[in-house]
Amino acid sequence: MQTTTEEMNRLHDEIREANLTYLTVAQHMIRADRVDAQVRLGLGSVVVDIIDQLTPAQLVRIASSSMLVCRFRCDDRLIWSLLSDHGNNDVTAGLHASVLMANQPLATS
Amino acid sequence: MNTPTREASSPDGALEAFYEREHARARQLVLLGASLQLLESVTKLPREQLEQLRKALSGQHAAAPKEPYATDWFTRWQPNIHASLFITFYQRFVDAAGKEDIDALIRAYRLYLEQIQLIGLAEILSITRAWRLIQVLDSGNLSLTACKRCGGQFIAQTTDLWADYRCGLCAPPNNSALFLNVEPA
Repeated sequence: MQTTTEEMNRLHDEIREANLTYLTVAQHMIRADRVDAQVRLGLGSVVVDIIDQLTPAQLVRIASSSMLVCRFRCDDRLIWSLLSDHGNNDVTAGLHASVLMANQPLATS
Repeated sequence: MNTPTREASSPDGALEAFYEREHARARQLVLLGASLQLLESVTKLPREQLEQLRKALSGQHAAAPKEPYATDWFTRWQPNIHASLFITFYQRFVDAAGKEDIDALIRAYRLYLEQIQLIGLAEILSITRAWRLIQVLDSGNLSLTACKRCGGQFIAQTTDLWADYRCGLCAPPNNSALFLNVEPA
């Protein structure tokens, strides 16, 4: 498979954008309410402290990688099918997905 | 819970700060609909002050009806799902803060309200019941069981041994959707 330089550059730009958005949102959340942010982000206290202390320059440098810094919190097929299924009982599926998402443990570090 | 004298060098200042914190916490609880009974158990403020606060913030009078203590409410189909969602959030906040306290109750209850409103359901679990649930689980009269199908944590009778437990969402009763209290649009 061949990827042109142009396509590669666009991909890098998109990854950087996603990383920047994630890190900026995470930092805002942590500074607004640390404990609340930990639960919503699903992160452990060590990582939360590190993100909190990132300078804008560090943040941009981390974001400018060819890898995403965040990933899906659940690799549970059931949660995905509940979240994406728009069957005839959205409310029950939404409630079920909420219970299972809430049950995802926080990261250990 | 913090004691009034341990914190600052000036005892007066420390006491003042302590009561300020208690007052702020009581306000948050009243705004979330806490009963007088709950307020009295978790804050160190005098009853008259708590009554005044409730009257001022929620327009409720001291003699608001006491919610029943019965634990079987938590095992009924719809309440069970709401209560299980709340307690799962509560556990996450306890994990994050490293301690079980009123702060975790307030945070978890707020997140429960937020989530239920987003889904478009009515909030059938009151904060007083949420607090009661924590006590009932501590006492061991009810416990948390993992559903063998979806893996979610659900409240169940401790006396029942669930080798093959299915939660109310994996195995809903017939016509259960009819019993969901949906928020009026």
